[in-house]
Amino acid sequence: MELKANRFVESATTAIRDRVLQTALDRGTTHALNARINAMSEVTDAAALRQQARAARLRALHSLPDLLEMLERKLTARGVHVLWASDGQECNRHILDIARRHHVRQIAKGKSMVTEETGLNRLLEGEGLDVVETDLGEFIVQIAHETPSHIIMPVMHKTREQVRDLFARELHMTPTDDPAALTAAARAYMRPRFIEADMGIQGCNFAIAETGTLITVTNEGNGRMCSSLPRVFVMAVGIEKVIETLDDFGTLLQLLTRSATGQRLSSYVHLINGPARPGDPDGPEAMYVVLVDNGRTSIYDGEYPEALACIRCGACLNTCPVYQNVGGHAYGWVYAGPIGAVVTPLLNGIHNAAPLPHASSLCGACKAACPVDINIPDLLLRLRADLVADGDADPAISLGVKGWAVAMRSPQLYEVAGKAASAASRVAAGYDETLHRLPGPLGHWTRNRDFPPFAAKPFRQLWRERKRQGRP
Amino acid sequence: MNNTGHSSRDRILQRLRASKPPFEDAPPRPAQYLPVTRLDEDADLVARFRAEVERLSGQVHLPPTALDAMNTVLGIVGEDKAVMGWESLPLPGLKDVLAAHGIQIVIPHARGDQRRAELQKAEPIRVGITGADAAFATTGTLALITNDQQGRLPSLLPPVHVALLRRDRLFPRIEDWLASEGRAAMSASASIALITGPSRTGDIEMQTILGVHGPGVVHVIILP
Repeated sequence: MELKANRFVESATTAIRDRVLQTALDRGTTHALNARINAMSEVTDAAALRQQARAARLRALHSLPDLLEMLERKLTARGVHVLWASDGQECNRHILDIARRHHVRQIAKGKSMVTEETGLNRLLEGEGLDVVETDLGEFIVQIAHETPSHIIMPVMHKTREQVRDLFARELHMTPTDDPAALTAAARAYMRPRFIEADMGIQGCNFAIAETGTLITVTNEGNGRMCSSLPRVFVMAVGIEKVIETLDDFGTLLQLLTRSATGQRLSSYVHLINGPARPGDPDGPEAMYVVLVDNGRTSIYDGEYPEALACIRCGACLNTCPVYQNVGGHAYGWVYAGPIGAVVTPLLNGIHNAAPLPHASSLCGACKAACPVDINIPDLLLRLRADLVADGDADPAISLGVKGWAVAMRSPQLYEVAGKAASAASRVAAGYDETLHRLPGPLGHWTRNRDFPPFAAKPFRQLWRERKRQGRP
Repeated sequence: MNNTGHSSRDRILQRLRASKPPFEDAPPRPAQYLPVTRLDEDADLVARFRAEVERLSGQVHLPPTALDAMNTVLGIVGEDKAVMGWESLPLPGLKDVLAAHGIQIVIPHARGDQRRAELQKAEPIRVGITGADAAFATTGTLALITNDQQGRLPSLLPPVHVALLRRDRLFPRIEDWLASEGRAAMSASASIALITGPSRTGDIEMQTILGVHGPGVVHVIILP
């Protein structure tokens, strides 16, 4: 997928002014946020479970190469062809080769974020293959020629009215904004395509090394269709997806579904241990697994391996005040929101996604929501430091920090400068008690944000008054 | 598979092993895992299972006798002349009863050259009847294991799924089943489906719609 992360400020500004998008985001994030909070409030012990889940992910990452080899051994023993891909191009080439080898013409595709990274659909379609995205959200994105804006809810950016217009245009459907009728139309469109598909492609939520089991978690049943009906089945698996044991899976699975959609479990959790066995009445004749690196090894031996612990639940997106306002597309790549602001620079090079670590107020809501307790604000802050150390600093902020440092060394200067700034800010703040534009080089800061005026009484003065009154 | 594949394999594994592995201090595997869902010591598992399935818009039937169970199935099948099903079902005599009512049990063999034809033949069937190898009370989940007697399609293609569950296959939680039978199940079967309620989507403005691709109606008959 084309990387547009360096256009974040521009895209975010457009997004904030897009009223339809704001409506869609309000409806989507509020619902998802509440669903997660309800679901996590009824577990045995949310804090302890998060640490249990986190420990499972960290253990798995610690032994990652050994677990990948174990997974490969187990899968190969059951007749699964295991392929490895260093980058997106190699992943795509493997899948195209498989399609050619098996004389595939039609492909039914389930949800896969890895193949969003690699831009697989475009390649396959360019080679004359017929690819249909079968998750409803992904299908909408496909026929609208867009990209998903959320890991779990790909069309969180769309209102039902927009889907109505899209289906009327692309599926020649009588316009209706009833989600049930829209869903039924998508089902009717896809049904024959499932039956005729020669090959299914899907992503993977967890890969259990101990048993050689690949897990897909879906609600619609499209995933089971992709992995059960076509004669060839391919899974694209990021190498970080591996976990050690079935017991770890039990915890991680339930925290994933509760954090993602607020469900105790999703409708379909499919545990796949290989292609159909000789006596099975149905199932794929051939199965391939492509283990994809595409930048993950460089995260692994870099400064931020914690980013690989993510189980892609999307909770940090729903809870993030920045995501809630700008939506997923502004982040300019596959992964949006707080974890996207970490992963996109790490997978693509920090200077190719320089605005993203700054696209956060560091409020900590993402860490609080994360089912594996990833310290996202800390990762963002350290990425900002990397940018500055690497010469990618906002000149206005550098100037401001220098001025601050000078004033902090002199109490008199600090007091005078503080009073002057305070008085000026209260004069300049308009009817809404907010500064929309700061003067001179400080204007850089207010280009994309507002500035609150200083308090009438500074802290130092309050402190002196309290001391005078004999209060601690 | 090919040379490129192998060199990438080596490159990836070598790079992962090139420096000290991260998270040396990751906590060890716990001796006892904390389960996710709450469940009282003396809880009635059938009641909890039923409540969970119903919460998801599924239906649970508790027929007092085998005959009642068969009548429940017949009631769901209604006027249909064909149902899809597993080769083996945990309700002895059901096949005969269905046959006596002129209802054919179709067991698709969607393999090899007949795949597409069998799928097309199976597609119009409205009701699929399966057993359930296990169920989990706290989430209202059914575990269906694929083998030569138990296909993937009857719980997937028809809009209505009827699962016949033996009461002694009801586990308190998913964790209990994974720990006691999960390993054996993973080596015994290529495909295990954990089914929790009907097929659903919330992709359009998070509004729940049932029956997208999988069954929109799920009946669980707990056998006497």
